[in-house]
Amino acid sequence: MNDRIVPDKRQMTLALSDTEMGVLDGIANQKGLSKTAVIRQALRLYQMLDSRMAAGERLFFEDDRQQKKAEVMVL
Amino acid sequence: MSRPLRVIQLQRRDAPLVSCELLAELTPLELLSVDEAWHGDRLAMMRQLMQREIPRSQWPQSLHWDWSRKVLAAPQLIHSVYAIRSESKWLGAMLIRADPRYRVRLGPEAGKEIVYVDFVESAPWNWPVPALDQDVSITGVGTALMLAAVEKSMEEEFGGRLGLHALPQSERFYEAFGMTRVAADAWKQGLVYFEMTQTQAQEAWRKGGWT
Repeated sequence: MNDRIVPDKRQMTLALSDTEMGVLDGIANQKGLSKTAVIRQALRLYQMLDSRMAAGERLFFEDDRQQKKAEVMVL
Repeated sequence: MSRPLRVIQLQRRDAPLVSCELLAELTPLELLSVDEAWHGDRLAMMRQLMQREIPRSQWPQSLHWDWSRKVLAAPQLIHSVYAIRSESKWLGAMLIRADPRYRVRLGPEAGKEIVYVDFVESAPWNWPVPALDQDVSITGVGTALMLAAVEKSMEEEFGGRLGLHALPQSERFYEAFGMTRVAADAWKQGLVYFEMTQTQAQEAWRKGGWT
């Protein structure tokens, strides 16, 4: 016996502009994921960045080839 | 409150199957109760190992783990905590992450997302410890938790792909589970990194009889 119990999921409607929907479609196609999976991943990333920055850490992009390092501002 | 994911049957040594609950989304309080339940077993085992003067190299390598610290380090959506429970006894626990920073290293799937297994452990009273003449009493706990990680990876549309760094005593288990040994990572105390492809995940899923 190995019975899977169906998980609870809540649904919502998301209103996006054509441009935003185009970006979401593009990322989903590029990654081979559904739009729901992209949104869930973005939410995880956002929460992680937000909590670490709230704790005083800073976020940087670094380019070794051009020897550039720039702090990323997150709203 | 945790979410029951599956009811599974595990094999007890010389006894009937034991019915267990696989739980997802354990709360920090529930994981603390796992830690409390196992803490005394860890100390008792450490005492026996010392009394018998067993070399440290033969001690179980997760003997010092402290799940309460892992709880505090993992309060976010990228983390998921699973456990297996039977008749109010905790049989195993696992902390995994669906973290965009972790990606496939090997083969044509390189660069794609994976679920990374941070920690997975069965109850100390269920470890095989030859130096103490202790054997596994309920088999399949680790495999069931790893299949739960595969299932999470499928739910996230990562195709069942997994990655983890193995303790040396667990390397054979991950190879038997179907994972590929990649390389030892100096930045991870020299632990060997293992990876499971989509094809390997489907095979493990089929072997495990999960649907």
